[in-house]
Amino acid sequence: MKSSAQNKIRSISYAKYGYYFILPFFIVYFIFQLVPLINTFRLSVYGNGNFAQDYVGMSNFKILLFGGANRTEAALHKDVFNDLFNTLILWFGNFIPQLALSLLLAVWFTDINLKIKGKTFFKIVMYLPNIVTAASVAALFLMLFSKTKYGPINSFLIDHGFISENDPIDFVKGKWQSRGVIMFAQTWMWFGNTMIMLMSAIMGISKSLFEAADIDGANSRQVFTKITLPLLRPMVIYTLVTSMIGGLQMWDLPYLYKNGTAWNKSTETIAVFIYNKFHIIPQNYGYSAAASVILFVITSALGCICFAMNTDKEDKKKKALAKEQRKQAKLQSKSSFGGF
Amino acid sequence: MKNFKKTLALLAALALSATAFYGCDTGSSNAGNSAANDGGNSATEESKTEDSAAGTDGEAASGDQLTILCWNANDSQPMVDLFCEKTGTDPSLINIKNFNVQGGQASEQYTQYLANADNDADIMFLEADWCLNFINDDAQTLPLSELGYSESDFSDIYDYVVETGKSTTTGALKGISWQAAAGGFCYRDDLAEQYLGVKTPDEMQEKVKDWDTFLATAKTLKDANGPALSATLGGVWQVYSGSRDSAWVKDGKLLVDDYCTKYAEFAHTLYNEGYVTKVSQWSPEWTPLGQTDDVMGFFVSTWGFGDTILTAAAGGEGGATFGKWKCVVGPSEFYWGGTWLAPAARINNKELAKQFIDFFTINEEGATAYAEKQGEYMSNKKVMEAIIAKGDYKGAPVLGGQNQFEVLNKVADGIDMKGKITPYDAVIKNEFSNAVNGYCDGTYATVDEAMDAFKDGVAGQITDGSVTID
Repeated sequence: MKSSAQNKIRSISYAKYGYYFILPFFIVYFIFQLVPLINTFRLSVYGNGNFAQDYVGMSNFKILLFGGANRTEAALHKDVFNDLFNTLILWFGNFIPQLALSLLLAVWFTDINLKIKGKTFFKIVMYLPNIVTAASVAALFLMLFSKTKYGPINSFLIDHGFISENDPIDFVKGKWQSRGVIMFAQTWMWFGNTMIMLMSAIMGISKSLFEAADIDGANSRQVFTKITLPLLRPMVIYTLVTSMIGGLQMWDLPYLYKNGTAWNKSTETIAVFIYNKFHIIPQNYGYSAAASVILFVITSALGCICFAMNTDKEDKKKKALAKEQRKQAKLQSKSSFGGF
Repeated sequence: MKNFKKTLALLAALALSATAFYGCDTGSSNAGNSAANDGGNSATEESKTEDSAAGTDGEAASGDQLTILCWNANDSQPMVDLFCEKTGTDPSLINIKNFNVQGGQASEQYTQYLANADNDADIMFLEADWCLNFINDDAQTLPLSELGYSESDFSDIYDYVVETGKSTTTGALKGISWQAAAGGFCYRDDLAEQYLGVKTPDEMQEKVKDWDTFLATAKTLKDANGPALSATLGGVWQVYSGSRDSAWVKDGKLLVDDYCTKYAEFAHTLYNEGYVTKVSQWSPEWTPLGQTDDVMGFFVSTWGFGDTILTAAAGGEGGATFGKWKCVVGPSEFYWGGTWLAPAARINNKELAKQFIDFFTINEEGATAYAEKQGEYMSNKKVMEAIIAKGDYKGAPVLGGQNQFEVLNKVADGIDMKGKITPYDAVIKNEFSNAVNGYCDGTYATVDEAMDAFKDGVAGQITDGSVTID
């Protein structure tokens, strides 16, 4: 007979303490992520401004996607598409140079044959911009690129005779100039981060592969295209997905990189649209939420495409092959049975 | 080692719970758009903790306290301090509910705070740009007559201050300001003498007395290879917008008239002929222009003579152009900002609230004391004239001996806002100036294109159909 105390001890479950420990996260997640997420969907079918309590069905979506008869609806529709277009432009413009640059640097930094001095130093320096908040980056670039002959970049260009004094380049309001600055700033902020991720992936590739390639006399281009790049694909896809999600939600720099309250329509992203429609009085919850949902759908669709790209083609082939073999085996067994 | 692990675990737990509370503070703005509905709750918690921190216990006290809603304590704290000191009111009777945000965001914060019926509010600080959002809403603010005021009580207050505090729907007076943010044109004395042969402010006023002479003077300066007459287009717009002689919205329709096209052409000339610089207002290189010889003038409002605009433009005390500035009325009377006091609809402390509003507006002693303590330009005309006559105040040092109050008194008296105020003004003016800027820098090729963009901009902002735009 066991004593009751012994029984008691046996029935104590330590698992519950584990739940207690992870509870705070789930509470915070529930209140600040899940509820707002669901509420966004709800708000997207409700009215705007003083009519925020009225159920309006799909009308917000209809107005944003297809416009409408009156000027307000047409303006909103125009804005949404203008902003979606800007978002894509800004994302492409910062992602492509960012990936190219970080891939190049990652390959150089991990190459055993290249003995680069001060690798750690460069890695830190290149990662540093990522630590600076977007607000400071925006302030810095506004300062550097300010239009007029007093801006550092413009005054440099003027002093060296590239442009005339009376015609400074408008880096803040000009369509492609402002886009260019934002793309550059985004690239500058994020290439270090991407580089570190790619480096860790490259270092995960077995050294023996590189050595074997070396012994077989492969040149560095061949090593890059035949070994590094194929094995790096999952990481590149991962970077693509994360950067895409981040890029579609880009808000900080496009919002902050402007003078005063003047909107720059050529750098306004869809996230800025959402923010603006919500932060005017009367507040347009409906339009903001509908635009958020549209953004959500686009993000999920693009995310799915990326994942589809990630599923290994070789893997698929193997699976198909295995299936075929099983079929054959079945057939054989059938025929052998029949033969018997 | 064991202790170390314990400390680590404790730290981790603390960090986690800290993030949990972090949400409470900024939840409404950080958690995205849809969290706003829940935002009201977190605001309640916030106010409760503040109440208890002030040493009063929650519910019972908040009923008796005079709760003042404001977005920063720059004005409210010195006001409450002086009020308590002079009237012998117990400071614990007044609770400053400070939202600690920029003025532009306060409107949103108030709405969320007031969405909870349990939250106390007696007096609200409302900024000029959006005060009508609350003043027009009878569910949020009370007419001043409910506190026992009649309009004649405010006969000493500048007309425009009273006019702006009226509801545009019912015409009832619902808010009043203690400040008058009238502004004038400040110019460089030495440059004016060099290029225009002007020796006194009166002579200068002749050179900029209306917009045509303003343009002519600007041309004279440029022809002599001199400075730009005014620093930024934004500044010019600030003033020009005050000289519109009708409301922006009439019978529910946006009025795009000759005034708009005329200003667009005027701005285009100023900008492209170099009569103003290409710098934007509030950009980092804006005020430093005052230390160069490229700019002759700034449009400055009462609050701008200090470090906000003019003293900064002069390079601070002992700066390159400190003391070389003078102030004149300029082409048109204008005001720029200001804060209005309005009794909240849920006020439960009418007597003290009235005493407070009295003290800073019609109570001459109180208004004088505050003006002298803070160097504020008060909305009470009689008080300001007495202060000017007394001669104790010698003017902002940056003006090198001129008393700007004499000029501002003239300006504030001349501002006429009767029938020109609509709740959409801030949005419309901002969109209009954006469109005109676009026309000036070539984004829009013609005035018509700019006006079209202007209409689209307004249409995208006022989405509730209350304004027709064709």
